[in-house]
Amino acid sequence: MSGSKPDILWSPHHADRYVICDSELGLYRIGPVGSGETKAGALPLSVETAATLLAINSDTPYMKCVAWYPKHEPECLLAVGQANGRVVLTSLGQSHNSKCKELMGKEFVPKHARQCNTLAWNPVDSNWLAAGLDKHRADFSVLIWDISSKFSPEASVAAEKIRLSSGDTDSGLVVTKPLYELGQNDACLSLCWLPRDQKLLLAGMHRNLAIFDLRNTSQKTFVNTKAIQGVTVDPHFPDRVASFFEGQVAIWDLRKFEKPVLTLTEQPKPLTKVAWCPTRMGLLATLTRDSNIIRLYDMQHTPTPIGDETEPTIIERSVQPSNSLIGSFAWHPTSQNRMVVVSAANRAMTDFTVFERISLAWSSTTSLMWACGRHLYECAEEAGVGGEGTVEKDIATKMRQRAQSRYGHDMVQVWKNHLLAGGDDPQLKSLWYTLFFMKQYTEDMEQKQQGSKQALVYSGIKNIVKSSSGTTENRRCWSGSDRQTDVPRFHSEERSLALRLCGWINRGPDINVEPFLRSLEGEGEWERAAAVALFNLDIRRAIQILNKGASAERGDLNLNVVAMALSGYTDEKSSLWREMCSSLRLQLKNPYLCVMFAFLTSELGTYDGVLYESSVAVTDRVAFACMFLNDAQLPRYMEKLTSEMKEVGNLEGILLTGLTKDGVDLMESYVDRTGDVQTASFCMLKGSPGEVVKDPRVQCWIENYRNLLDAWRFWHKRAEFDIHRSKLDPSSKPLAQVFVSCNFCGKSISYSCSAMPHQGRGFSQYGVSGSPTKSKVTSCPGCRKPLPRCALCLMNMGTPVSNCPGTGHGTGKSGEKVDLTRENKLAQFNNWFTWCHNCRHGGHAGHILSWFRDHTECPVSACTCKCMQLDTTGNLVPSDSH
Amino acid sequence: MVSVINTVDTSHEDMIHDAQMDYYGTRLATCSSDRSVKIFDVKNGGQILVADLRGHEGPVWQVAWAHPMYGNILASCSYDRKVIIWKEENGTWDKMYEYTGHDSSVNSVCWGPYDFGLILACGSSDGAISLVTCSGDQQWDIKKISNAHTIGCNAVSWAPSVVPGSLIDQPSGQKPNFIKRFVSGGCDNLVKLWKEEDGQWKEDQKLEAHSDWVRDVGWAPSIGLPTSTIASCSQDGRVFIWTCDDPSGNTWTAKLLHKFNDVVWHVSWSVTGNILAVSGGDNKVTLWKESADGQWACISDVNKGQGAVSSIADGATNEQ
Repeated sequence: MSGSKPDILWSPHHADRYVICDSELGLYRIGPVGSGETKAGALPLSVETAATLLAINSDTPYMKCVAWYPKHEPECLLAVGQANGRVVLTSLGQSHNSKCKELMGKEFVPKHARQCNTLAWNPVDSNWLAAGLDKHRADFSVLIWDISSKFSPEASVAAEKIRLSSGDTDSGLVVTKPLYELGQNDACLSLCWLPRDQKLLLAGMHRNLAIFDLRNTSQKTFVNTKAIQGVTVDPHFPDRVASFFEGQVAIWDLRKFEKPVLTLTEQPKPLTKVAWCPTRMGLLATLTRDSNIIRLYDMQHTPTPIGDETEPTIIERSVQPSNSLIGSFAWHPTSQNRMVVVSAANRAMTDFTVFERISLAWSSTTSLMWACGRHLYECAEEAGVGGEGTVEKDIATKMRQRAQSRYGHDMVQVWKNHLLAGGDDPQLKSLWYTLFFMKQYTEDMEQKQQGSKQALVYSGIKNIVKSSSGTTENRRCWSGSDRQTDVPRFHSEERSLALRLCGWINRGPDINVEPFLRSLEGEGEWERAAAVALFNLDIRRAIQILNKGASAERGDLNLNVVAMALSGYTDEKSSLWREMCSSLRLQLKNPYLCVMFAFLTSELGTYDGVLYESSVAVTDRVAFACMFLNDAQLPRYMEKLTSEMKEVGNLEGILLTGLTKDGVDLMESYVDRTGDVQTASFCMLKGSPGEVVKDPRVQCWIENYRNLLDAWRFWHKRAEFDIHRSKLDPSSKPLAQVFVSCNFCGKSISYSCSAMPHQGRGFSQYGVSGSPTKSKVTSCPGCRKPLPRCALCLMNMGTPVSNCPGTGHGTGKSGEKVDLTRENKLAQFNNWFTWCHNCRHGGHAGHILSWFRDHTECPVSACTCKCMQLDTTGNLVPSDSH
Repeated sequence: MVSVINTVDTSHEDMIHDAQMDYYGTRLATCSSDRSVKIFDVKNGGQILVADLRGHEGPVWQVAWAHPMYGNILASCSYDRKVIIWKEENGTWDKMYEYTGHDSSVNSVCWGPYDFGLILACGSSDGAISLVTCSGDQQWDIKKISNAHTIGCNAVSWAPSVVPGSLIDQPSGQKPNFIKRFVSGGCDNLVKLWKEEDGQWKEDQKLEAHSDWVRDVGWAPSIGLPTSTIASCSQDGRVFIWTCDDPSGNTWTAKLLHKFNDVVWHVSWSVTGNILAVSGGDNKVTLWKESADGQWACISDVNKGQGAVSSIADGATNEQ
């Protein structure tokens, strides 16, 4: 019978070749799919690889086991163990060279015919081939053949028996005299040479594992066990051996051979193959009969020289290379964790890699690193050029980009910040406009010396209208129609202010929405402009806007039709117009068109159709409410809208809450939703110096944002942020931590400037500190003794730096107008004191900085202090300076 | 969307177990079964090896960077039962401290938030967790939680520093009294929370949901709110997100992020805690994000093979 169970052997020398043996031998080459090497008849092994059949050898029937010659020359020499105990040398797909030719077809014949179970080449003395045979009475079961030996004298005697297998064998190639005979009166099921000594052979005998020493064949070390099949040495630990019996794997330590160091869980079905991964420490793969999974035992903890008492931790995993039942598998000798699997039935092959534990780590710049096997990968968010349908960028990436574009730093034209943020977020737009209007109003009030109102404006419309008093009600005519409306409108100073914050009206006493309408027209927001015009009871203007919009949008029929419908407005309660508008308005897609009809068809005093249309901007709804809701309705509506905004964290709601505790609540849910601490920090710092900044949540956002700026090395941005912050929250100003004291009198020389402590606690970290001393003072103001000299220019400190070659100390010239005062302040930095904490040498900051740009050692001769390297962050470059 | 931009040649001779970027993202530390720890300067997408730290006698499982305000300090833990704290001084890396208080492999190390000082948590296969604190001037103070996880502790992760009851007004001028907390995961299938009370570490919570070893835990950086979020992953293929809105920190609710078909090795939160990266036995790294309605969705699915495999000769991938 021929061995129908397939097996795989990788070539010991070619990383891309392997042999499959079942009833015949097939040599395959593996290569990438579609490459020139793979021919048309290539068999796909995986998505990326395919195999090409190179050669078939069917010369050796009754194959039981195969072993590949381990040395380079001859290249493709295989030993085949047969059912009758013979071992035949054969080759595959080779142009036969002389050495190979000589060996080809050579047979090694045991005295008594019985099955050959296993073969093993000696890895060092590669002439030696060990064969394990079944038991035959008292005969030996382990035979070691020398493949270079000439045919034996008894060859002719044995010749008759040889005829049993292959008739045409040249009897000159038959060897019957083994080099060694071992394992008398026993059977051998598995064999392997021990790598620590080429003379040691480990054999799985009938009921024991035995180690034969060829120097003294009469002696053997053995241990009684049932686990005698498939002995195999861990390629990474020459003392670790695995063997199996039925469904159980035993792991042995040859130094403590008495019992297995560990036994792996019993499988329900008998095992057929157990193999150590050659590329990875402690990874053992096992296969059972009729199974489509390979079980992996990851013995993560390697045996240490200390001699472990505790059992090593083992992680079990199952992998399923393909859906069919697995016949056999073989680890690739060099590729990481890779194996080829052959199916039991139809010789279908799969190229499979066992994936390792992948460790992960995020970097502060939102790139992700992971390690897999011996490789590391780094990946980052794709800088998608605003492509359609792309997933929104992560907030960390957004914040970083926004910080780079100086988001939040525009203190004058506050609304522009939304453009710096990208200009594509309606909530941010609304927020920054609100803050802009609040600031504008505050400035107006300051000019008029009305400080009392100043705080009120930042408390939000909700509080503004609450304090409303003296509301007047009037009924105006529809302009463009002489009919009296029955729509009452309300006025008060506070309501006007609210409208101003909503952006509907400009500064000034008169309520004129015309400039707002024009700007909306300019932006092409026709529907919104029309709605605002209508709410100001100017139907004619609304129609005009719609017509204009229709022609601008190349005859948008929708706008024209709406204009037409508007012109037919009638206040008859039961008119057909009213009836149709009420039902048809819901089909209008644009929310502003929709609310226009809602307004026109609404009953007196109930404007829910307008007020609760959530697609309409909050500013417009609030402005509408301020015009049309009475003193009783308005606060209720505001309250309701505010809590709605707070719940969802909609920044438009800041208009209502202002920068109050309510505002912080709202911002809290916004931050909770988005993680945008940047907007939260800047927003809260825009208000009046108030208690909101002291709210621990606000402090927390600010600290988090500062940490992010630090981690991104945006130190200049952080310094600017701190300066800005200290203006609003003087308590955040850190106290001076370092004073320069006179060497003679010990008094601080900077006392005259103590009103201006240096900013940012960061400086102490850099080991560089200084005080902005007045440039004329070159002596101690206390004792009039001269100040120390700069190590580089040798001038007394206090002398201004005349010419510093490297003053290019990133002033953030981002093309924007550079604040002259800022530049002057930075230039002063060159005059500051700086010194090394270690060697105490120092001088003008500008000089020292330029010195260490080219040197590592202290500028003072004979001082070998590597001042700059002592500072762990000193060598980092801020990433926002260029 | 995310794509592989770079593959790093670490020249490690065996499997890499961990890679960590420092605070500024300019340095990369890796550790491997080859017993070494390597440090690279990462500049313009390239890496320069600056140090090859030898000192461990077994595979090195994990590395952790301390906050830069303490200098350039790195901790590594190994199968050899040791934790080594390395420090860079004058451009060279040296051992600063070696901790040998564990009886078995040390699987995880994690530095606490900088507000707590220089404090390191170490989880070991001996089931214990050690807290190693630098009490100034080369003095190290050890506190050990014995039998924290039976069979072994696989992962530790610190909670971000939150001042207790920060929602309530804090008397100003007082030094904030930080609550030190961390989370650990172990072979007893449990996730445990630990809290320091009067200088002693106590088990604060025991979170049960996994049915096999917990491989990794990650406490999300809290940006903005004192809501606590923890991610845990396990051998059972499941990833849970644990959240606690309760300021006292007693009620934790678990939400199943996903059930994978194979073991889940690691979880990692992005800098702002908005994205969770998950790595699994199917060789995939997936990125998850919580939507506004509190549902977790997979936003990206990075197969190691994509874009990377062509540059690596032996890294052919296959998935079924």
